[in-house]
Amino acid sequence: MVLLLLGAVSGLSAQANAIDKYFKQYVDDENFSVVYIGPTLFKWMKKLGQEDSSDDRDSETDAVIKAVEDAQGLRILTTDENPRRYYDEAKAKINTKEYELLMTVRSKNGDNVEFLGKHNGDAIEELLLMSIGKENFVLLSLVGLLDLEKISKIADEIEE
Amino acid sequence: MAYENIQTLLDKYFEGSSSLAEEKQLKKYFQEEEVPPEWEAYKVLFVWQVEEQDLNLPTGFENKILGQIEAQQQVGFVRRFLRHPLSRAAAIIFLMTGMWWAYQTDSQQIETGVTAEINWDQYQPKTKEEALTITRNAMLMLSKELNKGTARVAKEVVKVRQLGRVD
Repeated sequence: MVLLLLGAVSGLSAQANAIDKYFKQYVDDENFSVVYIGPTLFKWMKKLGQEDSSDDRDSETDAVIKAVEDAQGLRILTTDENPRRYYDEAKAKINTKEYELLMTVRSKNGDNVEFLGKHNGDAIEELLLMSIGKENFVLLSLVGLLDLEKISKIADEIEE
Repeated sequence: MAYENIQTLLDKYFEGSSSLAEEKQLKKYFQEEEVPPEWEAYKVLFVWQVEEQDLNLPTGFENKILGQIEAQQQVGFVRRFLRHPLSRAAAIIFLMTGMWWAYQTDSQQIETGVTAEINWDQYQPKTKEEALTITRNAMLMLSKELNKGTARVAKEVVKVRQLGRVD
């Protein structure tokens, strides 16, 4: 009984902000480049989308603006130092109970991309991408009310 | 004291029929007088008895012994306490409370730590245009990868359907 109780408490502890723990560890790491787009900039983009798009803005940018209109934060961490090590480490750290694996795309050349989502009911409130190639490792977190269909349409705009 | 008298007293002593007064006489004799060689061994016995009687316990001996006994009784109390089911339950509750407190402290540190310690604003692009370009490229990558995965899933579904088709 004591062991069960101990397990329950340590489980609760492990669930708390696992992704933020990960970012916190690597933000100050000199091997990583860090970029952050905050809510103020997303508000500006939303406002931009509501204005007439008659000027020099292409349809692809319009699709991006539509996809991020309810986004709150975009965090990107990239490194070209020991990408495999960081990738394996990140995978081991992220709590898969909190972040559901949505999709894995594995290429023949060894590139691997994983999409994870943090759900809030039916909606996705955080999309996490972990990508590893021969040269670099990318960790991308997009927070907000997200519509995967809108995100998917961005690439369509280029192909048209 | 006459040799015969002493011999008689000794005989009575070893038979167990001597009186206390007679034993006292024997002790006095062997302590004070020269004894014949055949009784030399008895001298040791009677003198030793007298010396033992004179022995006294050192002062504080009783308190020392009582203290040691009390300490042993205290250890026994702890063991008895842990043997009781209610005491065990109390110990578990105490342990759980401690762990809950540690968890609460840890959570608070994480919650406040992430927002307070990382100053994300310093990683923001300097201009809005730069922010739009970064967002555009990031979203494009997300979209492409998402579509790549979806296309692959669609391809696999077609393959599975073809395998299941009976011509």
